[in-house]
Amino acid sequence: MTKNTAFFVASARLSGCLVTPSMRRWLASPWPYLGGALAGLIFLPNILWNAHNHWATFGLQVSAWNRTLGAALPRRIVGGLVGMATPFTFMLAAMGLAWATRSWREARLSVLAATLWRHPCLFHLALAARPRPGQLAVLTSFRLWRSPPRWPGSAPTGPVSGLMSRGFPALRRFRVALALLAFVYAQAFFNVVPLGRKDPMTRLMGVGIASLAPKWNAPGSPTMRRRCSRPIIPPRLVRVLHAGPPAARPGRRRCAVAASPVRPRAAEPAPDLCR
Amino acid sequence: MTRRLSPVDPFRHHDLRRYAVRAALRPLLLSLVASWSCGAPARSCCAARRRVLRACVLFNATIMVAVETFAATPDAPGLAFAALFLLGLARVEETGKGAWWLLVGIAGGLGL
Repeated sequence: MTKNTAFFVASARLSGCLVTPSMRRWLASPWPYLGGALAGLIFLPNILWNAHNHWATFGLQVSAWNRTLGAALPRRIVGGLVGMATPFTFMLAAMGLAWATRSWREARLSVLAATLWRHPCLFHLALAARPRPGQLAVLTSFRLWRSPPRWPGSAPTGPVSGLMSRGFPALRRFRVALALLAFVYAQAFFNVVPLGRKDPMTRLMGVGIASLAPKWNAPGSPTMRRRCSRPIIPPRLVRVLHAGPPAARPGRRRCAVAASPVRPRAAEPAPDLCR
Repeated sequence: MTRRLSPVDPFRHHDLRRYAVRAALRPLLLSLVASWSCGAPARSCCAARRRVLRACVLFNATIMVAVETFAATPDAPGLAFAALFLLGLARVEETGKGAWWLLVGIAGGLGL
């Protein structure tokens, strides 16, 4: 239903269960296997569809791997995590990850540590997928759930703990967090630091898409050949993004479908009101 | 012969409402599921409302969740089912009841 790379999320979490003594006893019961069978049953239609369609979506994952392996991955991973999760949540999650790793013998913490550590590990690098900040957020919630009443001590562990320590007034803490959050939202919505399309946040908001329209919508472009019909980037969307005139329509239509989703209406004769 | 490739064209005004329901409401509902999945373990274990609320606020303050609530990406269901998956494992560990593995299986299967 979502992405095949979710398999690695599940496997990382289950491996966290397996290395934990208190969770390992479940291997002797039928419940985990029933759950696994249920997951396989739900995923079965996807496998069958792929089998009848030349393994299209599975092939897409492999091609993404071949295309991007080793290219700017650390920058993408760290930048994506800090940006998409927001710096404040990222700091909390980093603290949570360190804490979960230290207490790995406890069941729920070993699951979290195994899940989060997969990011710098081979699974994530091999698939070259963007990190899932939601998992950081989930970790943060567990961090808050299990944390002691006060934040851990200050100076030796660096600025993050210092920010969270008691010595830092609550109001100032809130302001710093709010400022960080506001900056990330401003960057996402208004592209304050002009990173262009390479920035995943701004790309999600449509920055740079309009400039691609002439190239992608050109009659001979590979994307048009594949789609065979209407422009990949609708002209009306280009107008909405305020990035210049809409892309030129292809001169010759390959299919009988309109090249633009907006068809100009034929001019109707004006009614003669004097009659 | 003229035919339309897609039954829903988001840039035609009469389809806009249907498209909005499909594209915006579904991620929003999934984000609610994910938020609940983040808060539920905290609530059942320590019953500290402030921490549950803090967890949910932080979760929803991330750019990813905020963008997903109005953009139709596969990350919205992925996020919701990942959170449900983790919730199932947390329940297994807390309650000791094996039936929670079924929730883990369902969330894992749907997440794929």
